[in-house]
Amino acid sequence: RRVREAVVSTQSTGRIKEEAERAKHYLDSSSEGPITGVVERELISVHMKTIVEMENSGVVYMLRNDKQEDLRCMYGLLARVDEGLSCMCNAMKVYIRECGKTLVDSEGDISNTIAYVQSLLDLKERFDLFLKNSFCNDNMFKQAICSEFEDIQNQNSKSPEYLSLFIDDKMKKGNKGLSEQELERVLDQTIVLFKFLQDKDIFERYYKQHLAKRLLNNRSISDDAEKNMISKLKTECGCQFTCKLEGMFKDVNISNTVNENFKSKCKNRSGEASSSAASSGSTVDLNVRVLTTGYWPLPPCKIVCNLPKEAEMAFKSFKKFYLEDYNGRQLNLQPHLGHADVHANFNHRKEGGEVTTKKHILQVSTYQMCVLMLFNRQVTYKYKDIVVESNIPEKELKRALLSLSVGRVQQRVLLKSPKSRDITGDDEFSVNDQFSSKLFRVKIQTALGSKGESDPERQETRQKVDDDRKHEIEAAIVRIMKARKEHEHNVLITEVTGLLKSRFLPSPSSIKNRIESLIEREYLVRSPNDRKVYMYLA
Amino acid sequence: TVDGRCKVREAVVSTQSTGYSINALIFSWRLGVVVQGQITREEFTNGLMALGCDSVDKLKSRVSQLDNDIRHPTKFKDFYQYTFTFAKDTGAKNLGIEDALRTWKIVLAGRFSHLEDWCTFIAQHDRRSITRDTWNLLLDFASTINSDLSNYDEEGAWPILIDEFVGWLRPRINTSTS
Repeated sequence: RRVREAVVSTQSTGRIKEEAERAKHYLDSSSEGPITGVVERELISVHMKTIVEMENSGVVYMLRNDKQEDLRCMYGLLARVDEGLSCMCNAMKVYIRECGKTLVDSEGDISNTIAYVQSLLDLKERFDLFLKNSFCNDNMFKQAICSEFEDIQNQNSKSPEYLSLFIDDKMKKGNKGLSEQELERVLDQTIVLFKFLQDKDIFERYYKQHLAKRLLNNRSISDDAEKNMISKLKTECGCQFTCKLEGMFKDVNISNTVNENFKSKCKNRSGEASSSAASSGSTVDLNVRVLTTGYWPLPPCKIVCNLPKEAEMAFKSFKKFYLEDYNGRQLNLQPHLGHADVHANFNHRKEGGEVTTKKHILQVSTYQMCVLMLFNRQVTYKYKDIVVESNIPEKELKRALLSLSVGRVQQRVLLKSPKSRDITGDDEFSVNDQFSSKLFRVKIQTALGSKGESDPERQETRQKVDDDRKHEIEAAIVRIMKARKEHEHNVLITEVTGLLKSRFLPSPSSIKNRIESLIEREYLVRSPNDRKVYMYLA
Repeated sequence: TVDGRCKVREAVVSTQSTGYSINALIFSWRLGVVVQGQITREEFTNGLMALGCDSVDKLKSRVSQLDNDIRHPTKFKDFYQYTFTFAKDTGAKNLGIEDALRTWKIVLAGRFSHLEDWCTFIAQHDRRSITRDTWNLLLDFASTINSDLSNYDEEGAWPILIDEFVGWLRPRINTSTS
């Protein structure tokens, strides 16, 4: 069957050549064209659809099995007749669509986000090769490939998030040692996928979140690698998005300097007045990052929680120092970020009744630190009391407590009774004195999904994106109307869409919605003569 | 004269005793009444002068002819747009659904083939108020769009609420004709 197909192909080419030769010999040269035409029509056109779609030897088969040469042969053949290439191109499109669908359907499992994006990249690369080796860089095929990949990207609403997670994975330290060149190549490929995304603003939001985490937790490979990626994005979508990102880097650098100054000042102070050591809060080794509100993805309202006294004093001391230089600014602690190294003594009770003290350093989040420090005051706590004492938002508190008590076995620093995975008011927590670990420094993971958001979180993000979009659409409308003074409805919609296209695709109804809102707020008014024309009110 | 004014007030009250009626609305419109239920002295005197009524009898006969005032489409349009301002709370920007429905039923009676459907649609919609723009454009809709909605253009810059109405109405029309 496949052999038959290839043979048909070469036979056809052979036959065509034969007839052309024969025609040249026996007939007037003017007959060559028509005769070749007849042969082509008979051999190719009539049968091409069948040949292209043949199950075990058609285009799809060849694509699936990487038969680049055979495809090239067929391409050459079909190029001779009208509709030949579009026939082949359509078959290719169908195949890509199929591949895409399989991919999208299989990504149900969250831990597969990286694999999902990688498969997409691999698929694109395969077709880049086909384009080059089999389809002679034919523009029609090129465009068809692009449009199919665009569809695949935009069918899956999580594409923007997943793409950002993929890049996040590549940008983190300890990443299977990709060489600089390899990393560059992968990032360029991701840019191609980025271009296909319709919802670029959603990608931006996730990218910002993930970048912030990398910077704050010191997990980036290097500043240069990050900046390189950002400049690639800048080339694609302008600097509106990227300048905020650059602000984040600035903050980190300035923070490092401020930190150093603070520490040296503390050292000097504690050297001078040893009698008043208590006042400088120097029992805590503090490292501070100062974030400028506009640049970082921070929650809108202030989060408060009760810090342990020592931490509170350390922070106060820093605040005083900082505000001396930057008078007029407001510093707010962000307890949902940040981490702490806590010294812990566990009183192991051996079988014979002997008690030894095991020391560890626990690397925990700020919230976890607040919780743990409570146990210096009291041996057991009921959950509802911890809620009151710590003042930590309950969702975060539960997460912190669960990760300390019923998470991974090597991290069970606290005991919980009952041992269930959910928490109610009267559940009791106490220190797990029998805690042991081979490591001196024990890192406690918060049960944070590093791979993707939970669905409720996704909805929240989506809501924020929709709100932002409303503003962007309005801004676009006002900008256009201010310039034009008067504009017809459909033309306005087209222009607004064009203006926003590089960030997201606004639906005509969402634009209409904003127009109506602007009319209600008397920024726009309908022309008295024509309902379809809007006028700008200064 | 004091007498005259009292009598006029009676006449006005008696015409308005039909409650929220079209005549009451037209009368208020001609008088240029701004606040529903209250007529200022100025509105009263100037309005009556404009109507050419300097006696109670003239007023009575004039009131019975109020229909004429809105005969011409341009006049009606002006009147219709006025009723939005009249019906809503003075400070508010938009008109509450209840008042809107009440007013539509009076002023658009006989002028909008789908008035009943429209009122049903609005009553069960989750919008709680009507904007001036939507109010005004409903008249355009009522006067220009065919009963079978055949000439409705989805891209015709109609307010979204009217688009939604058409979407809601279309299947109902189709089932009743087929």
